[in-house]
Amino acid sequence: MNAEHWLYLATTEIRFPPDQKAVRRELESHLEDKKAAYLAQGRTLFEAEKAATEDMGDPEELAKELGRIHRPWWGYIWRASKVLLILAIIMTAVELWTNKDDLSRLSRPELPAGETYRTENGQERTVLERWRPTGAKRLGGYRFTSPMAWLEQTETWYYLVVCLRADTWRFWEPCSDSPWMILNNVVSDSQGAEYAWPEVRQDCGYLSCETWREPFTTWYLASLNLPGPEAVPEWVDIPIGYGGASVRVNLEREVLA
Amino acid sequence: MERRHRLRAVRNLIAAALLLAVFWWLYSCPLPTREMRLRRSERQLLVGESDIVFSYESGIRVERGSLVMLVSVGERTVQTCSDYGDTRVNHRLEVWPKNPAGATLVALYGEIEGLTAGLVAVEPPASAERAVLTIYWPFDIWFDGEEVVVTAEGERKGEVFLFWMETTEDVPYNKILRLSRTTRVSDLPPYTLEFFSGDGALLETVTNMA
Amino acid sequence: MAGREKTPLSGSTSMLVLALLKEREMYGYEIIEELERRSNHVFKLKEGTLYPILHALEKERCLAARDAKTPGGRLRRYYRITEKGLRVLEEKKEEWRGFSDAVTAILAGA
Repeated sequence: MNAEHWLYLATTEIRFPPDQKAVRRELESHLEDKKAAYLAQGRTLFEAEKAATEDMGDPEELAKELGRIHRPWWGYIWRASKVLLILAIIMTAVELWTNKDDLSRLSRPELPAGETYRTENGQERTVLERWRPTGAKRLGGYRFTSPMAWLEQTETWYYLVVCLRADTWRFWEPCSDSPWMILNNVVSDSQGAEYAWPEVRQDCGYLSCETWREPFTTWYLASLNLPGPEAVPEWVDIPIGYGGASVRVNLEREVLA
Repeated sequence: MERRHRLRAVRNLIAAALLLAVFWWLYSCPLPTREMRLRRSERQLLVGESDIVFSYESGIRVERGSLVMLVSVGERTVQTCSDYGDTRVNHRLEVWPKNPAGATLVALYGEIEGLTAGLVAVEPPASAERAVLTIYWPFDIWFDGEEVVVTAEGERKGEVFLFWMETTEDVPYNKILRLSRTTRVSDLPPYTLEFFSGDGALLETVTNMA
Repeated sequence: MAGREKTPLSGSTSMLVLALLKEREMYGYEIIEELERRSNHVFKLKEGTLYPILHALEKERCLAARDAKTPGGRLRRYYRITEKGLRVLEEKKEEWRGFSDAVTAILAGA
């Protein structure tokens, strides 16, 4: 029998092609070594090959044993996984490319670090006082914290600005980034004053809200128009969302409840 | 050899899963069923627990999908949801405050066949078998037409009553269109809603007119 | 070898292979040559027997394999014994000792 034929018969039961090739190479190398030995003994090329394959034994029997050992399933799964990975890479790359603008909408607000800062429309604001409330409140699966609250002045207006962030690991349902989450309600404080968005109520202080969104966090910046710097309350009650829940930001003891 | 294939396969599958999660996120995390989308919107707005009381599928197709309206009732709120086609952009949930003193009337958001707007009365009196909605359309100078009073008979759909407001000669399309885009209680036109029992007795009246 | 007979002999072949590889890593052809040499030509292992054993032992993690190229350009697959392989070897040696003692005991009485 010639080597090619023997090798073919011996590996034919190994169904996953890369495995089949690898085993074939190993057996081929073994055959070559045997052939070399016979050639060294002085036989011809033809005789050496014939003797070598005879030495190797029954290829069909070997094929059965090898087939039992080298099962193709994980090989097939590996192949499928490669295809799936390539698909996933292409899909994600295409979506990233076509959605570049959407991604730019994700950002966090710049909280003032120093004594003054500029708002987006170039207005200069002075920060008179700053608080960092601690603590967190869980509302409906979101974790609300207040990184900072501050009193700012612009020309003749005083604003108490409270920053809230809602965190969740469930990136597919971040807390709503609609300003109505806060503006739909009336904010009250420890001095009994109330603040609302003019469309909602007109007979109280002015309230406005800006929001930002990130993959796992939604930011809210609620601004309360204070009559003067002496009107800074001890705490502020901010109702959030439509379920009647609210977050109390304690400025005196810097606690969030 | 088999072990190598297994290792590589698992590694590839994990990488593919992560990438597909990123892709899903980039695609605005679509969810398969309407109910899941409704529940998610409710959670994002911190609405709280609610029961779905009404579901309607409009026959007309809007942007590759048929329009479905859902209404769910919570402890203090009523939600209307409209959902159609590419739900990344065409899904909205509106939250209405519940009427503490009786039934709540909410407007369904979106186009319904035949230039019609839909309104739903939620939590009617238990023994009500008939409901009548009367809308007092005010005079409006913005091409909306004259004052007109329209009465509609409600259809009982499970626990709620459904009212159709159609475009007619007296009630031009503009009015109906605005009604079908109403999201706040204060934007509803003046109305009276009456519920009758089986033998014709008046059970309850709900109105937003002073 | 025809079929899978559970004789002590089939188990002992893998024991011999493991014992050989305990010393150093070898490739297929080398294993057959070494076995024949050290057993004074008593064991002439057939390729049809060796390779299923080698691949099965690798699958069982008793052996680890690596591919190397000879200067002549030929690909050789070297097998070396693993931690688990060493343990299995010891177990099989125990079994063999038990078997051989039993045979000796019977023969002593005959």
